Amino acid sequence: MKRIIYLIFIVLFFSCEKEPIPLSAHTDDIFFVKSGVNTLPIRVKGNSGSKVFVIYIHGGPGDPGIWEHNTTQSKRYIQPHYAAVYFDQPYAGFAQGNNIAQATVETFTDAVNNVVQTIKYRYGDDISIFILGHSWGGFVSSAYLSSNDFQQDVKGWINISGAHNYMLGDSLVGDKIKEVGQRQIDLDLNKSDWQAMIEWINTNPPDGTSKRSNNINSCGFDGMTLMSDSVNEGFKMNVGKIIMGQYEPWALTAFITNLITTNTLNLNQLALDNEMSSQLPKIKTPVLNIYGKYDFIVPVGLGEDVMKHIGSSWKKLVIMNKSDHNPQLSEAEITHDEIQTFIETFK
Amino acid sequence: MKKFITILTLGALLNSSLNVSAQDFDKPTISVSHTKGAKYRIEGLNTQDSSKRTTFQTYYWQNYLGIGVLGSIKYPGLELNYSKAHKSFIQGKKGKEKFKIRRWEFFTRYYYHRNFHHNIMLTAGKSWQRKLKKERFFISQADIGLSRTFYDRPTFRNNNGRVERMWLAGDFYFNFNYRFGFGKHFHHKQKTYRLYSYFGLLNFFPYNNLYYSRVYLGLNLNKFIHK
Repeated sequence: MKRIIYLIFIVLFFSCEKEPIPLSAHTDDIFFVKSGVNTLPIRVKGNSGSKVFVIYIHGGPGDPGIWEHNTTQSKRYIQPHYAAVYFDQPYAGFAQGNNIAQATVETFTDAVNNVVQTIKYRYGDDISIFILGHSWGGFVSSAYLSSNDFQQDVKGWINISGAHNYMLGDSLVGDKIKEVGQRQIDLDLNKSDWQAMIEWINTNPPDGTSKRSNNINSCGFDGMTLMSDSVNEGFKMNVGKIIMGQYEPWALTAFITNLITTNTLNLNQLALDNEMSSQLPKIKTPVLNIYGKYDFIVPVGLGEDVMKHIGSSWKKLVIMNKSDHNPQLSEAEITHDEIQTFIETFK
Repeated sequence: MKKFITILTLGALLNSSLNVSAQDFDKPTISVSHTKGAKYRIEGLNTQDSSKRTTFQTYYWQNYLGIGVLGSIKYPGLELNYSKAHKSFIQGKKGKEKFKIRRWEFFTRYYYHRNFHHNIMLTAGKSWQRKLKKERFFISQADIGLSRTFYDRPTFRNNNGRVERMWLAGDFYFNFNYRFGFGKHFHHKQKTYRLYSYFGLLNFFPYNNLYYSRVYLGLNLNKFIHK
């Protein structure tokens, strides 16, 4: 009996101990982080032995970031050198939880903080963390870095096509449609399409509602697809892989539920009501901004706004000349060269 | 005369054994309700009553234990159930009769979705069964209950700046399910079994402000038991 008690005691003692996670060049570690009423799936992939962790803050809102950003390009340019951290934000992708709740900006900033703290707990306090925000992820990243003292845990912010100010973004989309559209009309390229878009933009200026913002966004998409000299590269979804559950993790119906919830929670309105331009001066972390010249959804003007307002002493804006909304996919090599140089400088 | 007595005795024995299996359910008092134009419903059937109208197996009055496998394409699960007979009746017009069976069902289910969660469900519900030709049947089942998920990967929380691992982390959900399918009765060594396959939805509420629905397929084997 005594032996059994000792055995139970030993098991309990070791089960409470902090688990050391071996750092390696081929880490593939999936775990969960509880953040408020949500449970977020996290996947760490790549070279954790480098002790550099690049945390992807996905777009959408509502995208399944955990597999969406695990792209061929990320596997080729990030994972061999650093550990890529993919996760699903609250109410996105495969996040789960028994709840009926409202989402606030803190829901997302706390989620990123909880992920950062857990990565440090699991892989050691001596690691370097970089935040890579894309699109809506630019809004979440800027909110996170300007909240509390969260930026102290981060060595650098990689802002790819980040939408930190939705209202500004909407007016920039309108300006871009009008400016580029007129040039295209003068060149007799897709004349009727551009005319229709310019007309629509003129009669539907941004009004601060998510409905109008979503329509302007759709108009931007339409404009983007008409530009023949840009490289339209999006996130690829393979239906066969989805059905066979080859994406890890993958729960199709949970993803659909979260997409619906993202819409009912009206997260775009949350971003419209909370512009981050005024918060940027609080951010002192080095920032690398990468925007696509042909991005009609989140135009380059937003990158210029970050450059204008951010409090960082080191800041850079790179405009990719053949890209639209996803330069990390369409001009992968140049984009990742920039990212790598940035990380090597500040890690 | 001897032959006649033997038949009577066998009949009585058969009768008593049937009554034993039926006695715990609805007392078989026949009630026939007619609507003008010949639609009718006969309730409280037992073997003797129905034998004139249609083949009526005794196992409709028996409870059964079931075991089954279920899954969503590649994520497997298991199911155990106990079914208690409730009532049977014939419905329809003459020559176009539908023989129907109602049962109470108790389920324990489990499935495992890799990198997502384990899920254990306890539910109770009802099944609606219709007899088809050659011992085949159509079945429709609905049940409600509770479910508890267990995240299948290490789970952590940030407790005021101190990260800690959560053990047996997961969520409780209100669980409501529906499924339908087809099956067949078969007999082996004087025991009756049935096998049916189905298609359905497992639903969990509330799930991130909505509910989580899982399409699933399954195969069930049931063994009828006497009370």
